[in-house]
This record gives sequence, C-alpha cells and structure tokens, in this order.
Amino acid sequence: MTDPYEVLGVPRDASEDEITKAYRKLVKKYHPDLNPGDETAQRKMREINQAYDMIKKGAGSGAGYQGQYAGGSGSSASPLDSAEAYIMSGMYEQALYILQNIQDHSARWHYLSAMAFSQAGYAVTALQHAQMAVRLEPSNAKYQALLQRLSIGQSQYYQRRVVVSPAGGFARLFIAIILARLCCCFCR
Amino acid sequence: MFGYVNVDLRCLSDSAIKQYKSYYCGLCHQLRRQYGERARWILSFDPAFLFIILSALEREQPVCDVNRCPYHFGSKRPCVCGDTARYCADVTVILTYLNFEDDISDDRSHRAAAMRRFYRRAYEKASAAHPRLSRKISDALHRLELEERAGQTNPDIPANIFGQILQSVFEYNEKAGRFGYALGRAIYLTDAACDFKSDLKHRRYNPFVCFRMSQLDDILSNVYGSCAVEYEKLELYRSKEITDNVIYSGIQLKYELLKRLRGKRHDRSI
Repeated sequence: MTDPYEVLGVPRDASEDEITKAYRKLVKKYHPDLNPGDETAQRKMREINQAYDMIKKGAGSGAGYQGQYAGGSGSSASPLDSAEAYIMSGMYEQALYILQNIQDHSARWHYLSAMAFSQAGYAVTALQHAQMAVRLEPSNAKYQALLQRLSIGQSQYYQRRVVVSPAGGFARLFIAIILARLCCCFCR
Repeated sequence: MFGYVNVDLRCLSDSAIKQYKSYYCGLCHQLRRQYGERARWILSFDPAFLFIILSALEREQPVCDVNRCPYHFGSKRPCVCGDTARYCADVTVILTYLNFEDDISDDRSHRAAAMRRFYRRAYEKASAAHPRLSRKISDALHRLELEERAGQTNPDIPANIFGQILQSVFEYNEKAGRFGYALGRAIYLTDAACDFKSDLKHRRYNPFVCFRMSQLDDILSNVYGSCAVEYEKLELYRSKEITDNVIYSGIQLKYELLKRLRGKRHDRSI
C-alpha cells in the first residue's frame, strides 16, 4: 500500500498547513476539469484524495497533528462546510461520504445532498433532497434556486407539451395506445 | 424494456405518418433481408424510433427504395434503407434477444425460453457484427439484475444502468449518446411507475419501493423534462414532427392511460 505522505510529497513530520498546501497544489494540477478525459489524471486525483483522507483520519491516532476536518474540538470547519467545499470543487464522492456520516438532517444537509447527488447523476434522489430542503426552510432563496434549477426541464417540457399534444378523451387515448402497439398498425 | 416509446397517433399529420411508415417499413424490410422472416415479428415502435432519430441526425438525405409488403396484400411500400437501417436491424435483434434472457431470469418464463431458442442464430449473427456493443449491453443487464435482486431502494442506480444501455446503442452517432442516456432513464422509470401498484401487490421488486404513488407524477415529469433538455440539444435535419411527438407525448401514453384507468376505478368505487 502506498504511503500517503509520499503521495502528497510531504515529510512525515509535516504540519497541518504544509499538508493542506501540498494537497491544494496537487488538486490544482490533477483536477478532472483541468484534465478532461485524462485517465491518468483521474487515477492520480483519486490517489491524492485517498492519501489526504488517510492522513486526516490518522490524526486522531497521535500522528502529531490534529486533522482539520475531524469535527472535534478546535477544528475550524464543520463537516457540512467541508462537504460544501468538496462539492464546489466537483468532488461529489467525498462530499457524499461526509454527508452520509452526518446524523442531523437539517435543511442545509438536504441542500448539500441535493447538490452532491445531482453532480453524481442521481437526479431523482437530488430532487427529493432539494424539495425537502425547501420544505424545511421555505424562505431560503438559495434552496429555492436549486430546486428551480433541478426542475427547469420540467416546466419547459409542459409548455412544449401543450403545443404538441392535444387534450384528448379517455377513449381516444385508449385507441391510440392499442393502435400504437399493434405490429404493422398503419393499415391506411 | 420495450413498449414505452410510442407515437401519439392522435396528433400526427398525414405526411408525418407517411414518413413514419417509410422508416418502419424500411426497418422491417432490412430485418427480413439480414435475418429472415422471423426477424420481422420482433419489430416494434421502439427500434423504429431509434432508426428515425439516427437518420435525422445525418445531414445526407436517406435513400429510399420500394418493396412489396406480404402483410399488406403485396402493396408497394417506400422503405428507407442504408447503413443506419442495417445497424438498427442488428440492434433490434440484440436487444430483443437479451430482453428474452432477462425475462427468463426474472420469472422463468417458458415463452421467453422458447423465443430465445427461436432467435438464437439471429442473435449470434448480430452480436458478431457488434461484439463490443453486445457485451456492454449484456454486462449492463447483468448489473441491473444484481441491483434488482439486491432490492436497490435508490431508483437512480438501476435507471442509470439502463440509461447506459441506451447510451451505448445511440452512440452510433457520437452526438446522440447523452440523449440515449436520458431516454433510457425515462423509459426505465416509466416502466417502474407503471408496474408500481402491481409489483407492490405481488411483493415484487420495484425501484420506487421507498416512494408513494403520489410522488411518481412529479418524479416522472422531472425525468421527461431532463430527457427533453437533451433532445433539444440534438441537431435534427428531418422528421422533427415525429420525434417531437414521441418525446413530448408518446413516451407518456402508457403511464397516462394507467393513471386514467386508476382514476376511473377509484371513481367507481366511491
């Protein structure tokens, strides 16, 4: 198994700041948005994230410094903040990992889950979370905006649908289905 | 898998219907030419729609020849032909055969087993022509089966797998992959919504197991919306009336009918 300190290119007695700086530098180099389609970069990105996670988790076992996102005393960022940071950099897998370990399902938790699931391509799940966030905090404009963005196809679809399809009666609809499913139905 | 990509016959003009026929008949004729008479019987709207969209994405006008149809008293019919027709015929056979295999593992259907034997030679020929595609689809169906057996409660996961199947099919044209993915998701989730009530009643797996029926309308309309967003990004050179009809109306027909049937039953029972 590769040494996480080696992956980040820092010595074992490096401080928290040095580790974070090294991580950020590597992220800027290998970020998937800056290297579209590059599989080596994607693999390297995963390695870097894993190494950073390992060092963070190893902080509690007396490695000599306190992990920034340990969520314990003296940490500067809450888990939701770090999840948000991951989402902003497009690292939805890491964000989802943090979010699923949080027990308190606040409006903000639902909002961040919606964004992470949306990035991951889980549109139905994202929509459910966005709707929940708005339900819990109806006055929050950010949550409303996200829900609107996730539903934008929906309203456009129905506007276009009215033009394309007439409102028909039940009988006509039934016949349309039957004709449509008969093989070689066009007997005109 | 099949049966959700419909055309809404209530609102297609006569010229659009003629155009549709030429593609349907073209695919039918191509299936017979490549795989024999039996391949004609597996034709349906779904692969015909694939043929129409892939043709519509090509700048060059498709070639049309005229053939006699034994199922319409030997009358002459215009038939679109060409490379796209050949590809769609291959895909029709591959998808139909793999669908039978899926049916067999789902409910050990004797009919599906018989159909599988009947179309085995045709499938072997089609998958030899497209080995990677056939392998991708069969792997994806296998993954889908695993998720369904495990009782996956997140509907996006199996829907995305099915989306990947259609994405690989539509990638015949590199611009159509994303639309194929969105369409695959829409088809899978429509199927799940239509089967929701009966699956729950018979304790069968349904991706919406953690949802209520009242949420399905909203979810489906969102999924159709995403599909339409990808559809509008396509640059179609012809057949727009038909494809608009399918995307904005046809794909919902079955679900709409079921909803109305449910509504009528509910009214009668009050």
